[in-house]
Amino acid sequence: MNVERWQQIEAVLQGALDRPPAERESFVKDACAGDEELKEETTALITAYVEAGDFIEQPAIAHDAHVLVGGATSVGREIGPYRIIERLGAGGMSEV
Amino acid sequence: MMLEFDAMNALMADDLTEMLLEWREGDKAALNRLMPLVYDEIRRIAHRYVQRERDGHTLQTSALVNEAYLRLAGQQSVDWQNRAHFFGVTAQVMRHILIDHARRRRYVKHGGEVRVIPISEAAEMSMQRASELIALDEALEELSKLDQRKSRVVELRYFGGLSLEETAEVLQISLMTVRRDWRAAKAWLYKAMKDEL
Repeated sequence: MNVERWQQIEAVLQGALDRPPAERESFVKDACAGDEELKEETTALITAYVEAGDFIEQPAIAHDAHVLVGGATSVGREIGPYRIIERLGAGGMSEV
Repeated sequence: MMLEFDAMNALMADDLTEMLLEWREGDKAALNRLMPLVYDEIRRIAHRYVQRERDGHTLQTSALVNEAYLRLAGQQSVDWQNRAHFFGVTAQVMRHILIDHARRRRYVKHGGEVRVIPISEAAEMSMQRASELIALDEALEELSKLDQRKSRVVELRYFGGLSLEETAEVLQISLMTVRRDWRAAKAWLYKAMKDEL
């Protein structure tokens, strides 16, 4: 998939999602006008959207706040392409 | 450093504004200097998130991020351009922290030499979650090559915790556009991850 193809696919996808589920199949068929691959790609994405449900609807922090809070914390860290120096037990320091 | 809270905030406010300006003007090193500041604020955000969850409150992540910005900028009324960039940076930093953690978690499992000792069992990221996050990060990277704006929408919302409206404001696009970007990106990412995992 390249950028131009994605734009084509997205155009059909958006049109389909604008319509009630019952109308989507015929809309896609018409919009794709014989381009089978386009029809397949778009249909797969519509399916994915429906299946996705609340996928990524909750921000990551809702899941992973505990990791940020109590995870392998380090003293004197820098973040970046970024060295995190971590303690491995008492008196031990190791570079990650 | 035992400065008065206000004085310290004022210092950081100047630094932050300058860094944001520099970063906007293409100075990537400014981002490196920003990161530790933002990282500290993110940990504060996470702490409060965990605390509120324990107390049974649901939390708007973006409200915390907004507060973090106000703390760092040390001002009540905020220049929208700075604020928008702060949200953008925070989202990127959050993504980096979590993906970094996920990678190290996976690396440990595969017998790497790096060892990460969690403070408590509960603080450890599950292997499944680590795999999910890495897959999402990679899929998001792929999406950005096809459609950078959609990738930014997802980064701001999923990692930065922004609402649809806030995302529209940060990116200076319409709410309708954000909605459409979000749903198309969701479909694309979900499919990409399903194909991968």
